Amino acid sequence: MRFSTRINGVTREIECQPGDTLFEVLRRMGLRGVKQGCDREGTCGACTVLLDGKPILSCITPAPKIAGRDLLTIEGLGDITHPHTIQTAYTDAGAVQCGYCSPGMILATKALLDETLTPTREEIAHALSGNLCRCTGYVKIFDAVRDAAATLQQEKEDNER
Amino acid sequence: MIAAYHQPEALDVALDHIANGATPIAGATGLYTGRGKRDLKLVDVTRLGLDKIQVTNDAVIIGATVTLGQLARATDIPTMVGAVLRKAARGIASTPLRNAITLGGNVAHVVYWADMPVALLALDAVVEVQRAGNASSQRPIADCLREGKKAWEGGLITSFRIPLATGTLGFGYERFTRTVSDYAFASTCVTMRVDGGKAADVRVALGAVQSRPARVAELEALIEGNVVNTELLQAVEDKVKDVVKVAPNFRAPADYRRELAAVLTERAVEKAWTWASREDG
Repeated sequence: MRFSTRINGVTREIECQPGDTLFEVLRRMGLRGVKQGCDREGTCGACTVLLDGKPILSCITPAPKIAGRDLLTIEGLGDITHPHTIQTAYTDAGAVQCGYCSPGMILATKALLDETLTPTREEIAHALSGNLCRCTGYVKIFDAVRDAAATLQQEKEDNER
Repeated sequence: MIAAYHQPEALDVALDHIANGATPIAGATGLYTGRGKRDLKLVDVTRLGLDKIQVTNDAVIIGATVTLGQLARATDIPTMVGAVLRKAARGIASTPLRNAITLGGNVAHVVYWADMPVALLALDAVVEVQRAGNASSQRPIADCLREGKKAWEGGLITSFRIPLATGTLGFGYERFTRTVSDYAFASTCVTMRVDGGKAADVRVALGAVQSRPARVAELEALIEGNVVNTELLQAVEDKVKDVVKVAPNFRAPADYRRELAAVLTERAVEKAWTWASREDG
């Protein structure tokens, strides 16, 4: 089947089988920031992407669901030469070890900080509740979220002056 | 294998697909787990406009494809009904899963640990079912949760109507999991009002313990018309242990889950009574 959709701000024509998951389609397109860390059960969050701004799990999402919608993957957020503030905060805080969970963590953080730049600890835990980190633990990840929020808040205030 | 994936934007088109053998899906969180049927034809029902929450004078009507994420943030649903639904929805799974799981799917694809049915049972929800070429029909939520032939077979659950009670009801909702996003080991929702100093209109629903979420008539009869005090709470615990048939489960021994259900139910009854008494007085 064929449909068009917006991925990372660019309209794309997608061709896929009816049973393909979004994860499979993205990987085939070369968007390999989505990772598979569980057995397509939706339990690890490594495949997280933002659909119309909300985090979803690409490994259990049928690909046709994104037809005509707006999808953001980690590749659309920033890259090594132009990292997003959240990506910078993750590296500065040492919130990345093996990096496998990082794309999902960072996109879940983006969805949270799009809603509030002053998240409480509970709100951070709630937002990241679907993302497992199997190496660092969560202390530095929480630090990174708070650092990113503070930086984005400062940028917002500076822009409003 | 999935042979076809339809994504209509009109309800009658979706109903025709279902009448012709297509399986409705919404959040699709259970689609890829387990053994898939061969040549499965799917109709995605998330573009039919069934994702609205409407509050009327005497009821809240929740579209079947409202997600648990929407429900968890639905501060416009008034009274205890809103509090119960938000609390139940917020406790389920993780943020990205709540953005996918729908209320309709949580009932249609019911599993014994499903949490929203427990709240819907205690809130006396009525389920609207539509079929191609027929007028819509209404079924009590309990009919849709029974094992055996599905109450909506050949059709689609389109909405849930929950009465907004006149007067004040109290509620208690208790759930135990190992981690925040884990399946419940046991969950319970109790609603009641206090009339003349005694419990009235008592509803006790239990989930994750029996083979399906269900109300427990023996517990409701025990509490109805009585003052909830220490003796009654002990009797509630004893009654749960007596009457609740614990379904087999690899996650924890039956004795442990029976004890857990008894303790959680006793807590939920006490909370519902405290809330209803406070508002009554």
